[in-house]
Amino acid sequence: MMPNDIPVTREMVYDWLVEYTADEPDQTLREFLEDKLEELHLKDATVSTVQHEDRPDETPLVDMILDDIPSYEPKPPTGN
Amino acid sequence: MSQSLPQEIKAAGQGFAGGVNLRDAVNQIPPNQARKMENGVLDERGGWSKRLGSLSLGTFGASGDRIISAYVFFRVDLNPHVMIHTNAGKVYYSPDATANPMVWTQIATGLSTTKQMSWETFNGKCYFTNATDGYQSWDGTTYATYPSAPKAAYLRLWKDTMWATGVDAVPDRAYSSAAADAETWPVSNWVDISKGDGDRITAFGTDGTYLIVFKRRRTMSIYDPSTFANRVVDPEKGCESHFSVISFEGIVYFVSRRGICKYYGDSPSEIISGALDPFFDPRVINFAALNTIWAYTVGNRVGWCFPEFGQALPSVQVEYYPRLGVLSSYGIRAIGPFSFQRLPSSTIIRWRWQQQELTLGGSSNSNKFYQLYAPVGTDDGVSYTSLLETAGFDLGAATNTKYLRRAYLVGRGAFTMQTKLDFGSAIDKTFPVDMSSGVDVWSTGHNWGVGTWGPDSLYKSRQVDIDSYAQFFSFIFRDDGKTITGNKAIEVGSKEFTVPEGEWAIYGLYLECAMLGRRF
Repeated sequence: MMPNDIPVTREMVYDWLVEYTADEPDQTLREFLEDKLEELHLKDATVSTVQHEDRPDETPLVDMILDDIPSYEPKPPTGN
Repeated sequence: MSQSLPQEIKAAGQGFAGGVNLRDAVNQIPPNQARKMENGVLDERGGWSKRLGSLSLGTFGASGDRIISAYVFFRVDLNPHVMIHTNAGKVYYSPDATANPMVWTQIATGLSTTKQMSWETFNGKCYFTNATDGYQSWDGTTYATYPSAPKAAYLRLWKDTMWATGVDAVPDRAYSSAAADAETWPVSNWVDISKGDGDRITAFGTDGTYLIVFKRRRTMSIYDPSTFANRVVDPEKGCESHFSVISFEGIVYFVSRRGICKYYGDSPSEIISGALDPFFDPRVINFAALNTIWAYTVGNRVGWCFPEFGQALPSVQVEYYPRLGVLSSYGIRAIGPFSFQRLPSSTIIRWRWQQQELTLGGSSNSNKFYQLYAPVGTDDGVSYTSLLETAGFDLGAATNTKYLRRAYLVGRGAFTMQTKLDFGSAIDKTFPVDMSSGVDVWSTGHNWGVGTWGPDSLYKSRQVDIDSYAQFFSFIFRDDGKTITGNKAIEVGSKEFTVPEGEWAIYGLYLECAMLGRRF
């Protein structure tokens, strides 16, 4: 999918991270996000990253989200 | 045996449209350029006029507050709001820049005291951000924050989309909002530009077609907002300040480490401030505060506020006259002239509503807000001096000594003319020149032959008897900080409009000399 076509917003991820921080689930952040994406039927979604110089043509959506976690504040826990 | 008389020379100056030149050796400065130019304008091509002053529009916040960022929030058919961010960590708006004093209402507090807000207007709202406080908006009545949006330092509107960059944790990353929606940020709408190159994105700009992504040492552009396709535009020049990027008459200008640049897009940017090269030296300007460089436009010129050595905020302005560049026979305009100003402001904005168009700015040394280039003769009650020092004129024979008998000046107002000889630092002679309009008009109390009557021209000529010998002559035109203004006439056919201008102007310099021999 093109980046613009991904039906997940930073606002949704922000809320997930707040939930993850509060609930302290017994799973990694990656597993937690994959569960959230699965609810949206997007667990296996990929994003076109053909114009990203350090990525293959397609990148799993969860990897894109995890890569951008440092930009969310208050800082969520890290580790995937 | 007969002896020939010294050859008489009559020389006309070439005006001052070449601007200030700090780069060339003192004997190499072209005759239409100047060694020093401060607090004046070159609006009348070839002439130099003292600039107008600064009018206080009242204060904001507490006495120690200073404006670190400002913006005009234009609203459809409504009075534009002036927005300011202060070093007290507060954002204010004022609904009317014509009021004096202006009324400021606090929108937000507890914000960064050092990181300047970057602003954009989209869908009727003013959005602003810095890397500490994150993304916020103001619609004229309501303030909102967006904690999930990228905590970006800089914003730029491009292709119906808000673009953000400068998130501290990901310094190479450029984010895009959803199309036509500056409040929704798709989770994978970002791209890293030259990731891990040891640099960070320092500014965004746009020429309308592309999004220009500046790092400190390089320039890239994003040319497809959907795929984020991007390329390197300039591999060796970047931008020091997001606030130095400005568009004027279809051209994007910005400030790099090595000077003021003109962006081309299809080839590396051109440094246009070559004549000011020595200015871009860490012993002259504060390299640690170059992120505060602030661009503005006023009339036919583009300006930048620079922090000088030892100053945390901008303290001097460099102004550029793109329209005064010489037009070639192929229709290509050469680089225009530069001059300096010492306006008491570090952040300058242009405000327009109905009949009024104002240049506004926050004071650099108080919590005042100013109308700049206002029809007053002081900078908020403080006198200022306009100064022009010409190149050294050799009158076509550098090795010969000349006797400079007299000079004819064309100008207006009252000022002082000084001469310097052979590039010496000492003043040779000082001449007061008064070309101010006559006030001694004829009245019934006068006898015949006393006083003057009838209209008095703004523009006059005066003869100055100089009586000096040298190979090179330089001239200084300055005032002693007078506090009055002058006028300039704009003739629209048979109708003349008089507009306020600085107190004096010098338009022409004509010399009468005798060529003497060589001194051994």
